[in-house]
Amino acid sequence: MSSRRAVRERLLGRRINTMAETMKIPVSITLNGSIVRADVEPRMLLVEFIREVAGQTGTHIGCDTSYCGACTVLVNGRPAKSCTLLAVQADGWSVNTVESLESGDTLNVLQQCFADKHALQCGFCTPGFLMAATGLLEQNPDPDDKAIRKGLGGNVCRCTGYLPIIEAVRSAAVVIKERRS
Amino acid sequence: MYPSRFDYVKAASFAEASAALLQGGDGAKVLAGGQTLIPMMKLRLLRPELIVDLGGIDDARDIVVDDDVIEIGALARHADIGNEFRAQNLCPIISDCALGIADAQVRNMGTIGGSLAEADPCSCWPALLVALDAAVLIEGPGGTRALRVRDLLRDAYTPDLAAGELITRIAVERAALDGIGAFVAFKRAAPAYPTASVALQINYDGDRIAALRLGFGCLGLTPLAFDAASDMACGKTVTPALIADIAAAASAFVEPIDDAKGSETYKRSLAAGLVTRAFNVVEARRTGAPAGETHQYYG
Ligand SMILES: Cc1cc2nc3c(=O)[nH]c(=O)nc-3n(C[C@H](O)[C@H](O)[C@H](O)COP(=O)(O)OP(=O)(O)OC[C@H]3O[C@@H](n4cnc5c(N)ncnc54)[C@H](O)[C@@H]3O)c2cc1C
Ligand code: FES
Ligand code: FES
Repeated sequence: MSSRRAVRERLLGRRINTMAETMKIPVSITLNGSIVRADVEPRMLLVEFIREVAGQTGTHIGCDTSYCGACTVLVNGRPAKSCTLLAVQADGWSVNTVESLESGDTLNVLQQCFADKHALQCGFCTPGFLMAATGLLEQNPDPDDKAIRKGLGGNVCRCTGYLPIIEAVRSAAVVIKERRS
Repeated sequence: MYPSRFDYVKAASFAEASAALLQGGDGAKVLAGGQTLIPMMKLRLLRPELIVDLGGIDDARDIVVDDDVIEIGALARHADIGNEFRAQNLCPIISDCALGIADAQVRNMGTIGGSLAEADPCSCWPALLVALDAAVLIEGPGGTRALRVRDLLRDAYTPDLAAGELITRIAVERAALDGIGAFVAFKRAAPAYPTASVALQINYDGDRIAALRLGFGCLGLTPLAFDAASDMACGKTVTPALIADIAAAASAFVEPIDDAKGSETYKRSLAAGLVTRAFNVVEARRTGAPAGETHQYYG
C-alpha cells in the first residue's frame, strides 16, 4: 500500500480503496466583497481559485515561482502573491483583486494615474502593480520615491522601465491627499 | 504549477499540530506562511502527503517587549515585526532585518518561525538571531524545551527538531540588544535571498566599545557568529583602523562557497565591505548623522 494512502487511512480512521478519490475541502473566501464558496483540492493555489473558480481573470500568473508579483492581490488588506498561497489557507479571508478598484466604467485614481503617466505598455504586470501600490498607499499615504521603489520591489515590469510607474504612484498619492483635505 | 496531491488539516493549537504531524509520519509537513514551502512544493522539490496548517493558531503572532527579554510568537510575520519595532523606534537591527527580507508581499505572509525552521543558510532571521545568541521555545510530544538558535541551526536545512516538534516562540535577551545595531545585506533584487548579510550590535561605554556582536548570513553552511570580534573591539573607540582590522578578520573567518552568486574570493571581499558598511550605519545612528542604506541591490 502506498504510504500516502496509509496516511489518509489513519487520518480518516477508515480503509479507503481508491486513489482516484481526492480529498476536497470546503472554503469560503470573501472575494471583492462577495463570498465565494467551493470545495477544492488542498493543492489548489489561491490564484487558480480566483481565476478558475471565481472566474475573475484580472489577476495574472506571470512567473508562477513567487518572483514577479503579477499575481499580487490584497489579503485582509495587505499585498500578497496569490501564486504562493493555497486556496485552503485563505478560507475565511477577505481577498481583493484588481477588479475591486474601478466602479462601473470609472477607473480609480491610481488606475487613472497609471493611464495618464503611461505606466503600462503590454499591461501584463499592471494588475499586480496596482494591487501592490494600493497596499503601499494604504500603509503609507505619502511615500517618497525610495518608499515607492521599496514598496514595489516585489513586482517586475519588462516594458516600462519602472520610472513611469513610480511617477504614477507618486501622483496618485498627491491626488488622494488633495481629495481628502 | 500545481503541487502534487496532499491531504490537509488546519490545526487550532501547536499541540494539535504536533499530534497531526506525528500521526502523518514522514510524509507530513507543517505550513506556516508558506513562502518557502509552497514554492518548493510547486517545483516538486517536496511532495508532502499531509499538510498541517498552523495558520489557524491566532495566539502565536504576538510581540512582547519587556525590560529583560523580547519574545516573538513563531507565527509573527516579517512585516508585523519590522513595522512594530520601527513604530516603537526600538532595536533598529530587528526592523532592518525584518523589512529587508524579500519584498512587501512575502513579508506580509512569511513568519519568523518558518524562517528559522527552514534553516536556510541565506535567511536573514537566523543570521540576526545567531549573532544575538537568541533562544527558541520548542513544543512537541516530549513537552516543551528551550534551545539556543545556535544549537537549532547546526547544519544547513536541517534544524535540530525531532518528529512532531514545533518552534513556538523566539526570545532575545535585552542585554544582547544594548547599544546600537544594524543589519545590512547585499542582494540581487528584493525578492531574492541576500548574497551575504551582516548583523552588528555595539554596546558603548561612553565613546568606547563595551561589547560587540557580529553575525553573518549566507557566508557558510550555517549562519555564523564571530564572537572573537568582541575581544578585538572591547575598550577601543571606533576608528577607521579598527573597522579595517575587524573587516579583515571577518573576511578570513567566514566560510563562503562558490555558487551562482559569486566566487569564494568575491564573497570574502563582500564580507569585509558589509562589515564596514554595518559599522558606518551604526556610527551614523549613534551620532545622529544620516545613515546610508542597509540593503543594497545590484543586477
Ligand atoms: C521571492 C522570495 C524571496 C525571499 N527572500 C528572502 C530573503 O531575502 N531573506 C529571507 O530571510 N527569506 C527570504 N525568503 C523566505 C521567506 O522569508 C519565508 O517566509 C521564510 O523563510 C519561511 O517562512 P514561512 O512562514 O513562509 O514558512 P513555510 O514556507 O510555511 O515553512 C518553511 C519550513 O519551515 C517549517 N515550519 C514552519 N513553521 C514552523 C514552526 N513553527 N515549527 C517548525 N517548523 C516550521 C515548514 O514545515 C517548512 O519546512 C524569500 C521567499 C520568497 C518566496
Ligand atoms: S506569478 Fe506569482 S509572483 Fe509571479
Ligand atoms: S507593461 Fe508590460 S510588463 Fe509591465
